[in-house]
Amino acid sequence: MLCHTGLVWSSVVDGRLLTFELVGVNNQNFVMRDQQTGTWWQQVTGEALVGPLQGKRLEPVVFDEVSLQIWQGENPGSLVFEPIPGHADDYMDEDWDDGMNYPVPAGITPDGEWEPRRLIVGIEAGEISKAYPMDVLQAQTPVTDQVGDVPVLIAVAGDGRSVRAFDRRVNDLMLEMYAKPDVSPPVFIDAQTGSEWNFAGVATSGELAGAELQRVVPLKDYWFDWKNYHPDTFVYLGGQ
Amino acid sequence: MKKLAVVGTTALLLAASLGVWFQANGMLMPEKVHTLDDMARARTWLNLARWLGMALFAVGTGLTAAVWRKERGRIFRTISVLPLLGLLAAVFVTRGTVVEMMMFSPVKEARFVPAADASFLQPDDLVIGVGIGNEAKAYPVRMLAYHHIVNDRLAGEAYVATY
Repeated sequence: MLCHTGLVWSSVVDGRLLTFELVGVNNQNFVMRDQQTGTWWQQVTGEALVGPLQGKRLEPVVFDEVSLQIWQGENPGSLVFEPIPGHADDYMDEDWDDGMNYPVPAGITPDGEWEPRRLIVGIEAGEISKAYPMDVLQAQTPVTDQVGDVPVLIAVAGDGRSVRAFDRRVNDLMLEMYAKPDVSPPVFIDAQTGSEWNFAGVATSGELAGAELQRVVPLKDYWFDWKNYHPDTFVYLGGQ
Repeated sequence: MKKLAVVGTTALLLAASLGVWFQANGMLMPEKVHTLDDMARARTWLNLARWLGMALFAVGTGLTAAVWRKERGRIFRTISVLPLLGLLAAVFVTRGTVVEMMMFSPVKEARFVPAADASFLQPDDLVIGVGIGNEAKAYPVRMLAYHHIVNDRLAGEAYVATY
């Protein structure tokens, strides 16, 4: 939470089911302890820091961070985690991250004018990683770019917060994508075939109808935290 | 004099256990900057504090029992039990960490409603969505940012949703 990072990890490590609880905070990101072995795990990297399973990594589970409306529209049968009785008043306000002012880890020198707590969207492709400032994405959505070998499409919905990323290669085509104006959830049109694509990455009309873009999982994170775990990260300077 | 020494020793043991625990906790606080060594040390010290606390509680119980047997005075008997109660509290407290107590409200069993019935949310509220096979679950960010950790499963797959 201190880093703004929502993540889903598999609970099974080497065939063993682990149950996690919170033990502390390391470099502004929380550390989990598993009840079974007492190992400590970094939330944002899934890495076992200390304990019997030190050096192991949790397997990522593909997830989405979008508005309820978008999620429900695509998954009408979805269940929703219900407030725990007695805690309904404890939940964070919409603007909970405005008050975040803990010191950031030493040694993190943001490039140029990037504030340590600038909200970014991080994308990884193999060994290559790249950070896209959230405000730039909001202004320029959809952004087509390249991370390592992967041509990506990153889009923000009209709510300004639902973010998705895709590999924009289909068959042998590398698609250039444009957004239909004033539509949310966004609808994209590719320059190559004129097909329409929805926010789930599925072509709904045109030559490519039925085709599906492969998802790339974006991570919302504060710049200092992303930089901490991706010291060699590229940064997206488009529009600056 | 001997009696006082016994009670005093128990109190000192209590202080030692809590001291180690506080030291370890200092390394786990949000405002601190850590290295991997800090984490390893904090974990070792926390384990030490926990075992120390339990061992001291055993010793304290023995000492207090001895005082209790010899001493008939009601006031002194009462006083002799206080450090032991302190040790008991220490054993309880040192099982966890300060951060855990301050920030962690564990979800013992997550309960769910169909998305259509989620009247506690606004349409624009962000959720962390997980879809496996034909099944889907959503965790509202505002709730996950408070609980931090939800151990759950979907379509037979076990995972932990975190924020």
